[in-house]
Amino acid sequence: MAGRAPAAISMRSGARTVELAPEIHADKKGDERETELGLEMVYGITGDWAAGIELPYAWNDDGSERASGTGDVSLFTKYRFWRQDTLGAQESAAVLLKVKTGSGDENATPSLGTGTTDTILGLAYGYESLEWYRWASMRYRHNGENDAGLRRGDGILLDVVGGWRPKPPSYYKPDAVWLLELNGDQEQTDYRAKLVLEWHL
Amino acid sequence: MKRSLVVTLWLLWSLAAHAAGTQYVMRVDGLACPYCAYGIEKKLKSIEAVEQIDVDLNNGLVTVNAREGTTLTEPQIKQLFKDAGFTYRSMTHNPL
Repeated sequence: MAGRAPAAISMRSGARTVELAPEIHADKKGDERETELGLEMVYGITGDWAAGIELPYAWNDDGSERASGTGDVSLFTKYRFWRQDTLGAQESAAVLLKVKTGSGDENATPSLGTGTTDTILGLAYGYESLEWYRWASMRYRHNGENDAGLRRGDGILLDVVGGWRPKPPSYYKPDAVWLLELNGDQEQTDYRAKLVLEWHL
Repeated sequence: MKRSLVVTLWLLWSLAAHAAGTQYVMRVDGLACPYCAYGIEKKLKSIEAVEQIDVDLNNGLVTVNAREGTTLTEPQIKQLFKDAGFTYRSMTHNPL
């Protein structure tokens, strides 16, 4: 499902089910280009607890050299500790834990990984209904040390998403939702907004 | 002869009626998207006697036709929806 809200707490997996979600991300800064194809696999341990793995494959170009390969693999788990279901809507809150490994080749040119193992702990809230969506999350990122003993400062990540489904959904019919996503990375001083169309066949 | 024929026809009709099964209609909260319905369908299809499933998202209704010989119990259904991540509210059933 391309365009899912970051740190979304949709626990759609359900107990003892596997969800696969491919994602593609492209970024361009001046002459630098980064393209990443990721596969996220989520296993529902219970109806409220899921664990998963993110497997990225990147193609990077810094304007003079290119590199491609697997990026930093991440492991994560999320536990929904509160849920309120009503007719056609679900509201919930969850805690998240993610460990991003330094498995990508940091020595490639350009680098395919950070060379560090970072830990992210977060809290997320979500409301999903037949017409409106809203999500918010706050995550604390603890960055690890690389081989040179250097460590980036820790930081806070904030995400807010609003969504609208213009046409009432029907089962077995294509479904489209418009999402406006705002992301902030306090440590990198990086704030972004993006408009996403999430379309399900 | 005529009496035998009537009895035979009555027996065949009874068998057909009993073989039709049961329709269960469940009220469920938390169904906010078609993908939610898909998750429920997967869980219900794991029950062997389930033959047909329909999900009405707007009214929060899940309708299941089950073959004769199997009864879907309330605790079983409640746990099934809990495992799927939704809240079961009530169920009615009628013979098909």
